[in-house]
Amino acid sequence: MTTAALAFFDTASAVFEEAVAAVGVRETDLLIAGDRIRLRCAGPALEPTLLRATEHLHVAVDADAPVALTVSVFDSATTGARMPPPPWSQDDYRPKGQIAGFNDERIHTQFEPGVDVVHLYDAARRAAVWWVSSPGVVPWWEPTFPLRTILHWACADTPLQPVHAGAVGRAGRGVLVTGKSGSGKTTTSLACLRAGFEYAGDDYVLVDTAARRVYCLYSTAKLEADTMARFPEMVPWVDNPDRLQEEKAIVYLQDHRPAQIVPVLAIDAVVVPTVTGRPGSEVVPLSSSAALQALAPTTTFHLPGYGREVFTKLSALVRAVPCFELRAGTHLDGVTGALDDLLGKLS
Amino acid sequence: MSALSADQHFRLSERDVVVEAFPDETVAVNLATGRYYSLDPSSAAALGLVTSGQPLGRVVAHLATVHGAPEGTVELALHAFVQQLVAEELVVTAGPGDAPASPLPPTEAGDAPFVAPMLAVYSDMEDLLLLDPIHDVDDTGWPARADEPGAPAGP
Repeated sequence: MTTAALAFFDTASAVFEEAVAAVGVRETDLLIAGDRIRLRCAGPALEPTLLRATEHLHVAVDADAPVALTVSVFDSATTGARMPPPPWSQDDYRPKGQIAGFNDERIHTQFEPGVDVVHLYDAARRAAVWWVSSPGVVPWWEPTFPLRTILHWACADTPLQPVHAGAVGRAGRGVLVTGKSGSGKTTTSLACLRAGFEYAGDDYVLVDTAARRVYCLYSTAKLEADTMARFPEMVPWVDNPDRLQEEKAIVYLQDHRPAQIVPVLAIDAVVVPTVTGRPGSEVVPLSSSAALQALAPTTTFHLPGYGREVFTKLSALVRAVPCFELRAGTHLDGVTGALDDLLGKLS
Repeated sequence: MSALSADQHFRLSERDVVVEAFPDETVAVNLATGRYYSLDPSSAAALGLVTSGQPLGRVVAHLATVHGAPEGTVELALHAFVQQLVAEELVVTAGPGDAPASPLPPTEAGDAPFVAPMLAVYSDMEDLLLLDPIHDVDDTGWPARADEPGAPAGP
C-alpha cells in the first residue's frame, strides 16, 4: 500500500470533518443495485450537483442499515474548510487525472481533468471523498452523471460496472443500447421513452455483467440540438434553456416521466444503433466481437483504472447475450417498432 | 524500425494489452495508448504463434509448412506484421526472465492458402487518454483551469 495515498485520504477526510463542523452535514441514502450508498454532504451547496440526477434512487436515511459505500462531499468555498496543497508534483498527473504514486489496490486518487474535482476512494473502508474548490467550477455535464468515477472504483471487484450505454425495455425485459458518442443511443432511448418503454438511462447505466441486469443510475437525458428537434415535446422540460449555446440540453426525466424510470431491467440483448438515413428500421444479428468494439472502448477509456477488468467484464456480457445491430431509420416509430419486435422474439 | 531476425522471440505486452478471442474475430486493446484492434482468425492465429515465445524463424517455417507457401513469402508478410505489432506496443521482445516458449502446434500441411496477417487499428479513443498538461496552480496549490476557448466542451 502507498502510505502517501492513505495519508492524503485521511487528510481529506479530516478536512471534510472541519467542513461539517462549520456548516453541518446533510445525509442522503441512495439504493443502487440493492446496495445502500450514503452521501454525506457538508452543507447544501453541492446537493444540486450530486443529487438531482439520482433523485429516483433516494431512500430514507436509515442509521441502522448496512451501508456499502459512504461518500463524503464538500467544497472549500462555501464551507471554509481548506484542502491542503496536493502532496504530489505537477509531473505526477497521468491521463484521466490519475495521480502517480497515489493509486494502488486499496486507495484511488484522481484529479479529474476539466471537472477539477478530486475523487478519492478507499476500498478497505468502503469510503470515498468528493472535493471541489468551489461549486462554481463544476462543469455543466457533471451533474448529469455524478459519482460515476467513485462507483467505477467501488465496483472493481464485483461483476457490476458503470457502462457508457442506454437501456430500455418492456415489462422488466430490456436491451442495452450502446455505441460511441453520436451513434444514436440517446435518440433510440428517448424514442423508446416516447413510445412507452421502460427507461433506465441514455448515457451511463450500471450493468451486472454476470446476472445480465442493467440498473438505472441517472434519470437525465442530454440532447444535442438536432436530437432536441426530434423531441419537441421535451423542449419545455429542458433544465438549461438559457445555456444551449454552450451546453447540451439537459432533461431530468424523473420530473416528467417518473413512471417509466425503472430501477432495473434484465438484459435480453445488446443493441448497437447505426444511423442509416433511410426511412425504415431493422434489427439484424451482430457478432459478439463487433458488439464488444461498440460497447467496451468508451467505458474502458472514460473511466480511470481497471481497464483490463472493464474489458473482460464487458466481453463476458457480449458472449452471454445475443447482440444486434439496430439499423435506425429516420422514422422513430420504426425504430421503436423494431425494438418491440426484438423484445417480443427474445421473450 | 530495424529488420527482424529469425532468432528473435516475442511475447504479448501483458501489462497493458488485453486480448479477447471470439470464433470469428479477435479484439485487442492497448490500455496505455487508447488504441484497439481487430484481427481475423488467421491473423489472430499468427499473433498467437508470434507471442508463443518461439523464435520468429521457427514461426515462419511452421506457417510455410502449414500453408504450403514459400518461406520467403511468409517471412516478408510475418515480419511486416510483427513490426506493426511492435510499433503498436502489443508485443515486446522476450527476455531471459520470461516464461518458457510454448510449443508450436503440430506442423501438418493443410489446404488453406497463406494469407498475410493483418491488424485493423482503431484510434478513435486516443483523445480520451491525451494528458491535459497542468500549466499552473492557484494560490491553494491546486491546478488552475485554463480559461481558454479550447476548454473541454463536455461529453
